[in-house]
Amino acid sequence: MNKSFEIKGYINNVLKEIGLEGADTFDKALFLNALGKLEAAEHSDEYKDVITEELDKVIKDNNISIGQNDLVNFMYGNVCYSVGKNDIAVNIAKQTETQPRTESGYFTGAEGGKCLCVAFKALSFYMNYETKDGGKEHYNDIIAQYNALYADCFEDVSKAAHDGDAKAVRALALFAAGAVDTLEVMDQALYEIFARIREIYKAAVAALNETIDSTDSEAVKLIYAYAVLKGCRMKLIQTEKYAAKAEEIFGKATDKHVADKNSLADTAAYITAYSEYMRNRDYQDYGRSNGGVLWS
Amino acid sequence: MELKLVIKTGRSAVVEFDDGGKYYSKKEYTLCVNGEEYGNTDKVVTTIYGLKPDTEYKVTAVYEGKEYGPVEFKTDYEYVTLNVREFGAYGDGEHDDTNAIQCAIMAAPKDSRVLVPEGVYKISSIFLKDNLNLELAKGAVLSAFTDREKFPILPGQIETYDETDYYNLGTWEGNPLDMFSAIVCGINCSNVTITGEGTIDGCTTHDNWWKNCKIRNTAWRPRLFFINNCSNVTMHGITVQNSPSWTIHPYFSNHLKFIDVKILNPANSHNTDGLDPESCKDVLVLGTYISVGDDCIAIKSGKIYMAQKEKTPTEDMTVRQCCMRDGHGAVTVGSEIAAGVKDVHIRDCMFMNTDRGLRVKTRRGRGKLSVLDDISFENIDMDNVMTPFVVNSFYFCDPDGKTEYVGSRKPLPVDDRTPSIKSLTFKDINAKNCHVAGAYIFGLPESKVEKLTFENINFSYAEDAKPGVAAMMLGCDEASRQGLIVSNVEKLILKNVNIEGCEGEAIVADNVDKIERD
Repeated sequence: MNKSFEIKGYINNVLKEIGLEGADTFDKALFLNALGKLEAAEHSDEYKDVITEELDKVIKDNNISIGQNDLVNFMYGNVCYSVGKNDIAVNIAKQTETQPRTESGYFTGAEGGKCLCVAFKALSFYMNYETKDGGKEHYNDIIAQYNALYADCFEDVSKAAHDGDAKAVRALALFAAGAVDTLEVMDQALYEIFARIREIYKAAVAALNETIDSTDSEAVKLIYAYAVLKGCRMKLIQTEKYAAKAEEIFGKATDKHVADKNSLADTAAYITAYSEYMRNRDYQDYGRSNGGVLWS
Repeated sequence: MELKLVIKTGRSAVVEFDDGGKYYSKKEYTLCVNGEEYGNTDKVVTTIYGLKPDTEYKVTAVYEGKEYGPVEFKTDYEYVTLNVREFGAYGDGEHDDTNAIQCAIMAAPKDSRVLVPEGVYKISSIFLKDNLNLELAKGAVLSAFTDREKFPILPGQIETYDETDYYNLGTWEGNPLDMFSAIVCGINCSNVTITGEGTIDGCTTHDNWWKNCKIRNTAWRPRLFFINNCSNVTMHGITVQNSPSWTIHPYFSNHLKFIDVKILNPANSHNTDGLDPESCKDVLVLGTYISVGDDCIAIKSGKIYMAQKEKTPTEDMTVRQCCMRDGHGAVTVGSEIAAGVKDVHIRDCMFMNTDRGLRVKTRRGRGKLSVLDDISFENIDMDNVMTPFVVNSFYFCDPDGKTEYVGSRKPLPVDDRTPSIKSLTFKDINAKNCHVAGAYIFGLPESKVEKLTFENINFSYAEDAKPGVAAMMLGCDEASRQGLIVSNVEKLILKNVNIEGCEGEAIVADNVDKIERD
């Protein structure tokens, strides 16, 4: 099966039939990030034009124009890095200085809500920026935010997820994905920080393993699959124990996506998981030189 | 003059002349073995080769007709010799002899000798095992390939099946990270001797391992010699050179001896420390010559993750009768010392042309387990050392090394991240042709060096003293002919300290609680 051909046709159909006009900003950012991840997995720049075109629509005065202190802006920062618009990403990173925080110190959205999803929306970009352009001076802030976020929310959200709260499962999935994305782009010279985020990531995956089946959201399941497959590739968790469930979710989603028309959110989550599925297989088969992890 | 036996194997013995010399003996002696002239030596520590196993020997030294000694000993029993040529090694400098040599090693029974005879043996990575005696004969060279794809990888951490712990194999600069296996590598083995007049050559150049060396490419660079969790390992006689990174790297290993070893790396090579014991106990370095591109000896105990996990300092280490030259530091403690370093004694050595003599590198964030205690330097000659003593508690290493937290000269709260230095003693030292400063000592204001002793020290400066930066810390500017700069110390003891030719104040003490001087 020629996966790259299939995924290309699939994405083109989605762009044609659903399009990105008027889409929710989070879903759109997730979709563009997914394309960036896919390019990295396939070592191509097949979707660079699509990403750049969409970025240009939201860039004004060399920054993102979505909304002041909107956490989604940081997701666009990662999109910028994926197509080499590093100068814009650096400008987006300035938002870390003004972003509202909780009393315990982690970012909240403009409206002040607390959510584990801040790891996915903001902290992975924060780490990406710090590693690439920030001089790594704020690694301590990032780990402090993870610790505070974990201490503040994790137990309650996990409990709610156990009780069948779909929003809690979604938050956990985004938390796990954010943590693994953060780990991917950090410098391991500060290994104690790496190890702590790894610990947090594993706790999130453990909580998800017990709750993921309770959600009906395909997008959430696929984000979970993404987080797990990526963790397997990065040797954060054991493939023999964790990969099967993620691959099962991905396999079922593939069948559905081939057959049905899907929402942008589901599509974005599917491409995100697909990119990691490809990289994971690549790594398992030819791991020595295709680890693909961006340790600097 | 006393003649002593240091160590013996089935085929060699090491003797030491106690005539007051440092690395080089004061006189050139003629060695006699069982009454026959063996040869002349001007080194305090000398190896005698070509002995037979299980045989009685009497060794004497003669100078101008006067005989010293004898030392009498019986060489070790040897059951069998396994010549790697018989296992298919070519030794022609072309064929890959890794498997043949590894086969000989794995086939060797207890009390045997694996012999690598004269020839050039191309290898990638060979592994040691228990009860191994590996001899590199004169003219034998283990010559390493430099292609990454030929080297195995030692993963930094492999999670245990029950997910409660990690098995650590690879390491890079104090963290458990994937590395290429060393050219000669030991994992979990005991009772190993590597001996002989041969060479292990890493063959590294700026076209291979030293190219883009700060970037991880598949895995971090290999060491030339790496032992992890080994005990009773002795290396003597051999030459090790052109290492891809740190040359000899014992890691969580105990009861180690490095005797009459020659460690040679070009002055412009990257991170080619000579000998870096990391979280090791009972280490002897004797009669060893080190000329490298970084620190000659760098004593370490990991960065904070490994330190907190294993809590294993480097301790009980002695360095005697060594010659160290051309590196950044002769003996460095740090910077990865998060589990601490204690009971380390350097004596009867000569340091030449290094940037620093003693170099302590630490910083905030190394943690409260990072305690340096009972470190002494005694009876040492230094020549052309830019700054003989540097203690830098503001070392700006690591990704966060130049942050306000690391660099601030103001006292910060003492917490779990704060390292400490207890006792440093420098005694009977002649440092001539200094350039930058006699000593540059900076403790932390919130965690001062507890006790710093200088006794019987002579500093003099080179006529053409070159300016330089004494310590890699923010705020340390280029200077020359400075005296003793001491800051953030509880008790400073100065006995018979002579500083000739410095510019400005001979002793500049800042935030020193108590000074005792004669």
